[in-house]
Amino acid sequence: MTQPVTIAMVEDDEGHARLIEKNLRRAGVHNKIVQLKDGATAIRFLFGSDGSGITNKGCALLVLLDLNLPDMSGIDILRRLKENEHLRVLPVVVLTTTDDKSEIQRCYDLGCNVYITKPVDYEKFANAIQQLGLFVFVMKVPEAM
Amino acid sequence: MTNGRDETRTRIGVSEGTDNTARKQAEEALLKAEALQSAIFNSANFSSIATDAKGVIQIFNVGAERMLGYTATEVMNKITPADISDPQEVVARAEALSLELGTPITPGFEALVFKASRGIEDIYELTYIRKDGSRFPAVVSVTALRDAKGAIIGYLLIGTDNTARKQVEAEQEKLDQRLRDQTALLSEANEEIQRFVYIVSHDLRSPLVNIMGFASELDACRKQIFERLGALRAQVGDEQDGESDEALRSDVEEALSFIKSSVAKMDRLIGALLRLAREGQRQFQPQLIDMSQLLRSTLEALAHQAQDVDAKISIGELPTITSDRLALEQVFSNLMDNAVKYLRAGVPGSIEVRATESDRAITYEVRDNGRGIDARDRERIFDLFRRSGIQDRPGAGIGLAHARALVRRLGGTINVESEPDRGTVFKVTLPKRWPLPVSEMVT
Repeated sequence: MTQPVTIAMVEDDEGHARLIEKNLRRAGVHNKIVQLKDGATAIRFLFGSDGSGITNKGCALLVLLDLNLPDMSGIDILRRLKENEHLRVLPVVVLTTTDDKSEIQRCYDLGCNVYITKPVDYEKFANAIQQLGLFVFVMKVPEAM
Repeated sequence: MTNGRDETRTRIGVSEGTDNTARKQAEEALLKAEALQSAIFNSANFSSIATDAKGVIQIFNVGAERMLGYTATEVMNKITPADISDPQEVVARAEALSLELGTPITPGFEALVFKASRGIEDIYELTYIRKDGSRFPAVVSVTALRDAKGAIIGYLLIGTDNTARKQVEAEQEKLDQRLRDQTALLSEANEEIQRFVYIVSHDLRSPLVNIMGFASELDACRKQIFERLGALRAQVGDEQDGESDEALRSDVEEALSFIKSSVAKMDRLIGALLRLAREGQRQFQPQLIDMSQLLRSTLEALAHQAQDVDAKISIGELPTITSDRLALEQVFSNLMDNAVKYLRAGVPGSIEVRATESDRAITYEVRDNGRGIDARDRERIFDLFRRSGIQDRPGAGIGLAHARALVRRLGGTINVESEPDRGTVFKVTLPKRWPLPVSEMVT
């Protein structure tokens, strides 16, 4: 039996975090959600106090990543995750307001699994989160080694 | 010692004693030659220095004395022109010539006359050093002096003071540099604005997601609240206040719908700003463009709309231009689109594109017989999000602002002339070649 997936939501905007959570719950996703409000907090949570990432090795974590953070770019977090031997297997979903094509390409090049733009239109927003919910259901959790 | 004067005399000597006419001609020739020589050698504006074959100065004219500060007696039979030239430049010239001609040339007088000695015309720039040690740039022309058999017997170095020209060049270079600096500053400022717009529009969008999201959540709550209120009233059998509930419900609904439509509008405006900012960051790719063809394909895209409003569009023979194709497509499709969009109801539309050409620029005109633009709006229409006249056509007020930004980036101007209820002419003046050379840029 695999452990249930925890969603690490890197999101500085309280409102966005709330809307994402509401819609995930509506989509039937009842997994634990940990909100990380800035880049530094996210790095500490993901890479542990020693910064090696070993504490989360083999953990069932899904990273939900906003790119526009107050203290660093989400792209840097993505790069560090994908460069880390213990954490590179973690699925990363970029969820941000940026819809710039080159930015999207950069995220995919760095190894993000899904890129979702937060639309202002709430119906589209709800749909996007529902898609994300489906992704959480089908997601393969890395086996604990 | 030999110089030009002796040669002339010798040659004339040969022809002596033939007949009187010949002698007279010879004497006249001699007089002429002497007058010419004396003019050259007494000219105060040219330094004429003649040397023997080894470079030792034999003649040092008034001009040379004036420019260099030596008297003729101080230098004649004593030094070579290399001794009054910048030694480093002489070394550099020797090295350059050795390389160019593939033969070793010693840094000294040889470097100054080597080309002339090989019969190559030689004019070069050099720094002369005056007796008092001060220096000045000179342009020197070197000629080899030959005897009747063609053997080199000396050299003539004619020099002019190049200081004034050098100063002009230095001034010009300073001006060019200032222009380059200003251009760099301008484009830096432009890039900063682009980045600013980009960041701000993203950061503005973030709160909109919340306003829209929570307004929609409130809307969902509203439905539930009034349903429950209705149910509660039914439970306690209170039907009297049903009407005021209904008023309250529609008030809340109205407020939420205004919030949502305003947020949607703001999102569209931010989207337009973002597109403009992105477009502003695009690098232009200059190429030769057949403008008649470009306008014709713009017309194809508009054919349907034009037919709907009964508009005839004619495109004259337009001169080609070297510019950015995509930018010009956007500019002219916008102008044509406006021309078709703002015709007068009931009047068959007539839209015409033509061009006039000057030395360096081409002015393309898009002329229509549409509703025209009020005088007070003729600047405003180029501002972002501003429109003119009756707002009965779709649009966000972006097209002309975008067109003007593009035309400006391409070094041109866009103007409008219009008469309400008669028609409008948009004039786009562009340089024939983009990018402009630095010297033609207008600050």
